[in-house]
Amino acid sequence: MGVNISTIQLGGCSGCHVSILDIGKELFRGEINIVHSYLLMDKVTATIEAESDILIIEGAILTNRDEKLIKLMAPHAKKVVAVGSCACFGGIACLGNLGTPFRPQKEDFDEPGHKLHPLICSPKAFINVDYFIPGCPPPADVIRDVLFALIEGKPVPEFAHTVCDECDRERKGEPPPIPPGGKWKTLLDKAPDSRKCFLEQGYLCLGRQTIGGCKASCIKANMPCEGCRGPIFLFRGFKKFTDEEKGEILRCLK
Amino acid sequence: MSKVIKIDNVARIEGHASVTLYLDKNGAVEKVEYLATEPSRGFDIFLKGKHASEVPRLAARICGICYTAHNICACKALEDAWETPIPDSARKIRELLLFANTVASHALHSFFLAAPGLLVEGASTIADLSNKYPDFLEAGMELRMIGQKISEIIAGRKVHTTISVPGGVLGILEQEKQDEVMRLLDSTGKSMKIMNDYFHRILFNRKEYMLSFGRIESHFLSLKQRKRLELYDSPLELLMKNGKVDILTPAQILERITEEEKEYSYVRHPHITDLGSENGQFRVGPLARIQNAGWDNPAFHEFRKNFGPLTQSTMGYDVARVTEMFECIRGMKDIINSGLDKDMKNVAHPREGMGVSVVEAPRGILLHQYETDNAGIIRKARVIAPTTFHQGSIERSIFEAAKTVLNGKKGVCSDEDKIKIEQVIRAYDPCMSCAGATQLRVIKKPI
Repeated sequence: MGVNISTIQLGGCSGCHVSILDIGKELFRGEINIVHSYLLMDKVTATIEAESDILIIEGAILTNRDEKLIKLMAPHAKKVVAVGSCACFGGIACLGNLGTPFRPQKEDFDEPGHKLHPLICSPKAFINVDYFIPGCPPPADVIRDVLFALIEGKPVPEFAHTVCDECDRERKGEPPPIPPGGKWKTLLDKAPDSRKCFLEQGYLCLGRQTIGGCKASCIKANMPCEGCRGPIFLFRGFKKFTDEEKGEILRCLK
Repeated sequence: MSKVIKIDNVARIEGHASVTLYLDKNGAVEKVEYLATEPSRGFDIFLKGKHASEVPRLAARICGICYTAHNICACKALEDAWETPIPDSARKIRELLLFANTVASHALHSFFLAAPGLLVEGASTIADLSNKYPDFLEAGMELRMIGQKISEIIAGRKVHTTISVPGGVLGILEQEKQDEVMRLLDSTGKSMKIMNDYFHRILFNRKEYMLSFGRIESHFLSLKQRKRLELYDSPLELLMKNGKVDILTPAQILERITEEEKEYSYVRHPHITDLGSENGQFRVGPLARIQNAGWDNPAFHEFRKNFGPLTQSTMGYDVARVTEMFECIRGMKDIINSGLDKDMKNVAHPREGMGVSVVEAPRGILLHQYETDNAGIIRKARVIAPTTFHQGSIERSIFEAAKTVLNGKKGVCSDEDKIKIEQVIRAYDPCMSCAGATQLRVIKKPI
């Protein structure tokens, strides 16, 4: 009895681990055994190849070590769950690819150790990921729902709606495609009206394109959506990335 | 015959680090290297060319634990560059967020990361403690959740709170929300007492260990503390080993430090230039803040009674953290009682300039520096995180701790010994994701 869980942080900020801890007491229920986690237990090196039912990955592939580590760990896990935008599609970590002058040379890459990876990317480039939970970080409730569905063998909840669907601000109709006056307002300007749609006020809000499930929490605090959970068409909830969808995305990109 | 001992993947810290111990032929520790094995995620590089309005929320992503400090420090640096004042209530909201984040971060560290090794020898996770000390786990969970919930009430989300923007904050804290925060704060009494009792029991039972394990001599740098805990805005105070005090501005501290490059680590080792690389090391964080404080708080007086007015004890960090949580809760209550209005945001007008700012993150002094052009585009970004300041001190503390642990072992270091040595690293609560946020360098020595 019991479910063995491994967690691993690659190149990231620990924020997703903090969000997992935000689940609270339920995480320390009897049936969950944490068999490998650098943040929660000792003997990290000895337990890397421990057999687990669920492997939780946070962060993007930042170093050669990260690539080796997930290739080593993934075969020992029955299900692999990518938690957070970095693990799902690169996120903030992938912005590091912009620093071209600092890219390592070919000869650095061949050396052993913790060299920077030639291309920072999501772990799905190297291993098979079963479930994606995007967000920066994903809200604790969303992680809990997915995690406990997996533990109890129930269907994993999917999100097919956007942040805009969850937002309860006043909206006149379709938001104007071009902001009033032709120029977006920025967060340096005065604070937006907390009742009206950001787009109609001329502030750039990504809620219309962004996958929901966060209960529009930033918008409720008067912060326009920054799209941290990724574009809706890319993931269609937490469903596995199927070939059919890949084809659709490629069509869109063309 | 000399020997090399490696501790790969230091456990229960944020981010990745390793330790290499060099022993001489008699098994005595000769040299220690503390390796940050996580290279920079290149924040200074990709922030260049971005519009300043994007910077605070990107900066928050440097760290998943002290995101609030990064978010607010970035705003403060830009406001410094453009000489933008912020409304009084916005300042109060920022302080509330910093206090709430500090409570959550200290609770995470004290209960989940540090306590298992301190309370029960050989315990590896907080779950191992739950059979013997069920109330301890409960209290830890509750205090951490209260910190996170207050962040959620104010900023809409628990992690990566990004409502601070140059010129103020975006949200308004209505009366109902203030009452809710107050209710949460009033409910902390029991858990705080349980936590304080446990840590003082550790201190009482293992006094010699707490006072001398990994003890080193260093200077201390923090914001000047007044009658209450100051995390947001105050001059910098450099407390020298000999008790002499220097008051500095953020720009002055940048002039006085050198960031030394080590061939084995991704993170530089800063020190005060004119005092040299060993003698010029200084520590930041809870222990530094408590040294020059005059808080009116029973927990603080108890700390002073146990540790004295100027303590160099490294393990004192763990007790200082607990003491500080009392002060955070008091600080939040004071702010809410002082009243908040609806004026939260001034318009920020970008112009050409350079700004430096400092706030107290949970782990200590955090420094952000930005240079913008007159359209608000970032030309240069620089971040020095608290753990960066600690690199040299951590190394010296490991050296002292390893000397104690390996004494008489003739160069044999068992897994249990390694775990004991790791405990001293944990006292600093290092966050390697922060330390390596900027200034990537290619290291020559393979790790």
